[in-house]
Amino acid sequence: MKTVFLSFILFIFTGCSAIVGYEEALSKFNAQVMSATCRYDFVEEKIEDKDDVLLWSEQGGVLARDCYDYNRSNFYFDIAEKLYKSDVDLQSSASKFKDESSTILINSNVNEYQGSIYEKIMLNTYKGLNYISLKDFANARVEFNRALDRQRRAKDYFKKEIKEAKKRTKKDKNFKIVQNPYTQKAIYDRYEWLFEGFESYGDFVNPFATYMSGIFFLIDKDYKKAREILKFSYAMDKNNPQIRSDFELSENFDASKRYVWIIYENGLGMQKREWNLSVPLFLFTNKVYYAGIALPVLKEGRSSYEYLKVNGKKTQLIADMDRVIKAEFKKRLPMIVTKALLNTVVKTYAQYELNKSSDLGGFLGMLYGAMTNKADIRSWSVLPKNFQSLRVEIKDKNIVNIEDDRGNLILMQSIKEGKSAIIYVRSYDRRDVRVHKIEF
Amino acid sequence: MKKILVSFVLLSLLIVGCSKEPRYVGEKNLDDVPVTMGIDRKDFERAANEAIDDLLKSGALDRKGGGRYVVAIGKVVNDTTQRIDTDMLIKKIRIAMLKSGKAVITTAVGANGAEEKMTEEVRKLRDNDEFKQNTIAKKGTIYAPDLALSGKIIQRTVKTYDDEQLVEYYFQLTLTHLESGLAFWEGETVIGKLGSNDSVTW
Repeated sequence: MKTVFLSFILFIFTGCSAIVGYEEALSKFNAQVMSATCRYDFVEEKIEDKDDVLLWSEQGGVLARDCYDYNRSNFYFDIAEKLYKSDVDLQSSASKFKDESSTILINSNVNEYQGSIYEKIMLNTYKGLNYISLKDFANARVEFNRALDRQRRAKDYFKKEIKEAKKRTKKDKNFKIVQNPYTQKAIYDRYEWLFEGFESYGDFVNPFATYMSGIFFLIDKDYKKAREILKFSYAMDKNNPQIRSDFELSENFDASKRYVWIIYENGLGMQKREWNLSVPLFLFTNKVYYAGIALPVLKEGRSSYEYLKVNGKKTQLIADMDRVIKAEFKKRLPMIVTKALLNTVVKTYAQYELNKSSDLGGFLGMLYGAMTNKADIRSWSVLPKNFQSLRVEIKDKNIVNIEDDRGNLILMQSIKEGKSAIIYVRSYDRRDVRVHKIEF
Repeated sequence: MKKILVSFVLLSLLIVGCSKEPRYVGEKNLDDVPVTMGIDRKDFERAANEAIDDLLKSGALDRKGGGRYVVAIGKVVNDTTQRIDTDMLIKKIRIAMLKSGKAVITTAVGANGAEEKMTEEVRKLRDNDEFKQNTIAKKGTIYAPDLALSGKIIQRTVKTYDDEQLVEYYFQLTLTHLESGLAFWEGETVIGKLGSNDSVTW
């Protein structure tokens, strides 16, 4: 009965996100980004209301970048980065304990957004790209160094996070019930299709962050560092002709030649959606009891132009962001499932007790259970499906014509005499093209 | 309820007590504790002081036949994960060089153009009737630099076997003789810090 009382109290104080979830807010934001209206009121309101500041700062960073307001974009990213340190990495044990308790008693939507490792890496990569656009190579260097450092520490960080979370959930009195092999199998069998034939890039590596850092150090004329990084990129993807070519260029850079890199950020990456499953629970006796459980699942994003083409050459895949997102989701899934199951077990017990007390109590318990059965589907929702790259040499003409995957000319970019350039193309959908041109 | 509260307070104290505060690596004075895993004011001071001592002792600034060298400030690359102003290092070295009486610093030429734009601006006043022409700098009066000071700050971060984080900052400086292209002096100061691996160093 104590649990029931505590759940209700917590529920009252934690607001409506526990029932409503975040699907609507995320869809609204995505539509705003796609429409390129460059309005910040939605993001500003969220930040002002202290409503998942970390998430909306990341989102705002992309929105401002898409609107070519690089300073504003970095302002948002800086907020997010600061929170990753203070509220995620250095979150106190008491606060972690509080978050886990509310997840188990209500659902994880009532907790502040914690982001993910790939988001941290992308945050510094975008900041680096923004600084390149601002021609501030000194700060761009710092950001790419940060992105690389985040990749280095990702594996250990995650191991520690999981170890601590496991330690806490193991102490829960219902831990044994949720570990029941039949219950576990019923869930993981349903996820099998998602990971069929899936191969991750390795421990939280985002090949784009590595590759883009390598290209930055190359254009910043730090050939030694560029070579070291591109060598690593090449080792990860030996059959990639573009990475190989850039690695070779870093070994023997000819400063008299002019180059254009077309970096293509394609489509919209995987999004989290809610998935309602019925799972067998063994609560009281060996008699099986089926309960509804809401879990997050990944839904395919969409591609814009499959590739871009310059001088008959196609852009090459550098990083499949879906693969990066899926890899982390797969690693986090056991923890998500355990907490969701603990939540279901608590609510089922509570309902049983309420049922015993009165019909109304039983009804309220059922209502509470149904209303708070929501999965946490929050994520940085405007990341691309994949990153591609192509480098061409500029010889006689100072114009770069970029065609889409159907051979239609979609962009004509002029490059100043004597300059090299990065033409960074972002496209969420066919006919939606935003270009960041950096000449150096 | 009280029992829970007391246990919670004790647990919190235990956790706070176990946190790994940053500390210097290889320091004799154990009371000297860094405030951060990043580069702080003390680190800049130490790196600058060591560089100045070494530079003045090396004799690289002792000009044959007397007189002072003219030194230009080249590029100082910040190759760390910290947002820092490299002037915090260089300014101290500049001051020490000037105080030594062995060198003067030019602000008319630098890695990012002239530091003092007025040197050029006043020369634009030539032929301007509003200015006393004999008070305007004459042609051929700016000193070209003999030497250039440049450098790099590098960061290396590794996880230690006992789950801590070791971060090393390498403050590297080079004084190049511009006529010959030879490095007259090079200095390096390494500052190491050991601390918690819970978060990033910046």
